[in-house]
Amino acid sequence: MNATSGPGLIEPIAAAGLVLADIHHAFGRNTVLKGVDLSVAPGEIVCLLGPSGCGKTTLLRLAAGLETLQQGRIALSGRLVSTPAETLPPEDRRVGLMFQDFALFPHLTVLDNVAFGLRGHSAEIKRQTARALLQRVGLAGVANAYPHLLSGGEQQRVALVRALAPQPQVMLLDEPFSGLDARLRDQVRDQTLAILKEQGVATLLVTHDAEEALLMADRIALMEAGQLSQTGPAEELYFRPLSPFVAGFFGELNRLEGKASNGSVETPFGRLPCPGIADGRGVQILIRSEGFNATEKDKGVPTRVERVRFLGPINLVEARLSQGTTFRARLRPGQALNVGQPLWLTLDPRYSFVFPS
Amino acid sequence: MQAAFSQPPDLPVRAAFSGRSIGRRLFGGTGLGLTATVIALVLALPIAVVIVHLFVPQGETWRHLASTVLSRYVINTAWLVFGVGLGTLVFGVASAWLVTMYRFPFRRIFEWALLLPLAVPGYAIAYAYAGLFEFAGPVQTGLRETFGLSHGNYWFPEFRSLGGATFILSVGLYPYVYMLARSAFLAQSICALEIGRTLGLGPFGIFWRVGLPLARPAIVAGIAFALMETLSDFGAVQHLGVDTFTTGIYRTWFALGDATAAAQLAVVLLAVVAFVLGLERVMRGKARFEHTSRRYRPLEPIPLRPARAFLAFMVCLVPIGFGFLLPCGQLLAWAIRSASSVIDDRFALEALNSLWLALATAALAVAIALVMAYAGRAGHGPITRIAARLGSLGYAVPGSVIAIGVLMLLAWVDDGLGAIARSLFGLSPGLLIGGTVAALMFAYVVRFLAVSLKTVDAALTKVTPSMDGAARALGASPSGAIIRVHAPLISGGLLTAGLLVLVDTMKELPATLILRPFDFNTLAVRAYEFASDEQLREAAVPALLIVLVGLMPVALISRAIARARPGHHEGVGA
Repeated sequence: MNATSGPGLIEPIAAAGLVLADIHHAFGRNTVLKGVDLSVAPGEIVCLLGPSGCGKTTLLRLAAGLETLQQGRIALSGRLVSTPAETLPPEDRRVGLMFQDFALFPHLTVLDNVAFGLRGHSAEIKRQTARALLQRVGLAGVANAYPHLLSGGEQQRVALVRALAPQPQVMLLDEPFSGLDARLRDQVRDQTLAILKEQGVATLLVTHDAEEALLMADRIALMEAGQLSQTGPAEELYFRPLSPFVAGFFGELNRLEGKASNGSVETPFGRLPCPGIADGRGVQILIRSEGFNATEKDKGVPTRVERVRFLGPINLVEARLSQGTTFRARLRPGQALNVGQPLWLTLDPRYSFVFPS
Repeated sequence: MQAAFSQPPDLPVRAAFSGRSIGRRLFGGTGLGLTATVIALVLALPIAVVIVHLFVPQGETWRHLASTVLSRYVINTAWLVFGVGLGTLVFGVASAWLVTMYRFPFRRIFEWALLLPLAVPGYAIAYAYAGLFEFAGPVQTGLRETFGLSHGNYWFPEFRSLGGATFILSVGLYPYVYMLARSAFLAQSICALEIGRTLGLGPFGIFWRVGLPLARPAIVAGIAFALMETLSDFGAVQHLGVDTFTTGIYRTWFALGDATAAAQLAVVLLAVVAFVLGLERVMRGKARFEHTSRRYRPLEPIPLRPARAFLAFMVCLVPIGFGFLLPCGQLLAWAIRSASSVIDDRFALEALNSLWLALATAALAVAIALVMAYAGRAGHGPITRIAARLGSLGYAVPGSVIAIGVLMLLAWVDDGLGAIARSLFGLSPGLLIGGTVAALMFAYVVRFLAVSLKTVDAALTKVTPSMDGAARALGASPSGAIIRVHAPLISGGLLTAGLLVLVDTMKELPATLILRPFDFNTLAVRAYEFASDEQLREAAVPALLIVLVGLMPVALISRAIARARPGHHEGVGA
């Protein structure tokens, strides 16, 4: 099933890094990818974000050559590697691949795991190279240990170093942090980010965690049911979502209904623009809970505090408008808030979005 | 972002599903799936041949059997199934619960020693008991001398009876129940047992209301294993003079020479096997208890007061004593006295016969298991899955049934080959395959493939799909990944699989008796022949050798049991 490079596969492609074009894929009757276009430039980290089962891992496996492409084209480092007719086998692609379970070889020491992918040298040189790489991530001390003796964070770093050892130009990471416990995760993410940036490798990272994507990504590709909903820098997806799904993926939303008139819609917090929506059409208004600010008496919209939850850096407040609607707002704890007391809120319009319903 | 393909190279973009995908979906990829399917079909043939005899008209012999012995077979078999089921349940569950939950002297030793009877074939236990407790045996003689009794004026249990067979098979087969019950009890630990205690249950309450119900599926599975062995036992019931289907099949074939009637008896036996397996399904119910907690804290065994500790000690000692110490002690005592007269050049040759036949069978079974395991791994095509099931069928089918199936199958094949030879060369070649060692090995593989397949499958799960992916992405070709990642990880499992088949093959008696080439003996056959001539002392030598070989996998299993505790970190290459 793995054809070696035929005439199609040596066709040069202009872009370096990873290019996926018009990818369709189905398992039996179940279509998991419906026309995905995505590229990752050298040195760039793209996070493929989406709920579980949306097809992100399949896309990654296609890029690695572990699945046979059914429709579309894939290029790596300016070279076409997958077409429906031909597939360059994974071992000839020079991609670094990292799994959620790290997939360390249990019968090999840490050093031999890292040296596994090094080619074309004597065993001694391979080991020296591997040792040097381990030294750089502070793991020289466990080089001769077997993987099961390592902590989760150490295993993750070994897997990363092993994938990077053959100096791939493209790194593919499948949920690389979800096997770690929460406290370790932040630290390991920072280290991983630093290492990937230092290597200047084109990285595609699959995750279902929006916060992780915001933290790691130069660009986020948000996927829903086999299609990319929106691709762009984190701020763009956060402040200018193209659909309610995208808006909802990055935080808690308050939802309101309204009607468009003269390119705007009336809300309790003033009129919000909705250009391009015909007069009289129903719209849904989405407001991020972090979009509210508390102000002095009578300077904002009057509400009454219904519930307060102290979450450390912020208070999660449920506030009721006089006409009955309840809003959830994340407010910096400045003043003491008690249930029943009046609260004046203003809305930062950057945190509100209007879509046709 | 699509700049790269703004001038798309001229590539044919085919439809998502090409023609080959049908074969892929059914067989899961390569020719491997097809090979596995063909192998499975061939291995299922002998069983199919037997089943076909449901529809063959009944002959004179069958009518004779039905009017004379059939009802005895049915009644004896029913009592055996009931008695051995009950016996293994009591011995296995009681000992498993005690060694898991309580602390008493020798508990650590009992944990593995309770498995020892697995090493002793049923016929070896039967020979030992028959000799020990017969009228002229040491026990009765001792009693008579001590109490001044004489023949006929005292009662003594007769081991050559249905009750004796039930007892002997129970003490020999309870380890199946013990093994599964113990791991089920161990797995419960923190999940349910301590909660039971906090909810106010005493030790018996915990056993009856938490431990036993939760372990029920495992216990039922263990009993089913023991009953499969009971139904296929030939050597023990034959020696004890209890007529069952297996002895009936053997006699119908050898004494009456009627293969068709033998096959018809085999069909009835198969129906009993199917009934027991069906009963297991029903008794196990839909209950597949998954533990909700993934946390594990080792269970701290409760210390017992001296009187109770002694009781627990005895409950564990009794099955080991009756299933291993007593029979093996007797065999050893006999063997010491008879070894010099039994062991000669001919005996050495037979021992070697046994060994190389078992080695070759083990190698073949492991090789076939590898093909089938990889076919199953390559894809989840329905046919590949069915093939694995089909190939594993033999383990539930008694050896004598398989032997009759192989016999008839090969007779047809030989007839066919003979006809071809006659028409081509004008000569009759006689038997080509039937009556050869190849026929014997074929029967062994049919019978024991499931053992190797299960072990190889388990070994292969150590190589996760992501390890495959990682190896490929790191530059290993498919064969490179097999050599550098799979081979070191599964070699231990392959050896275990081979060892299990080797021991089973060496122990095997009924199929060997029916299919062996003329004048070809194995250790098991030699023991059987000695015992049939009432030369029990002589039979002890080959029987003891088989026990010694059988101790190897028992040692492996007991080591695995010690490691299989939840939370126990599995070492490398374990």
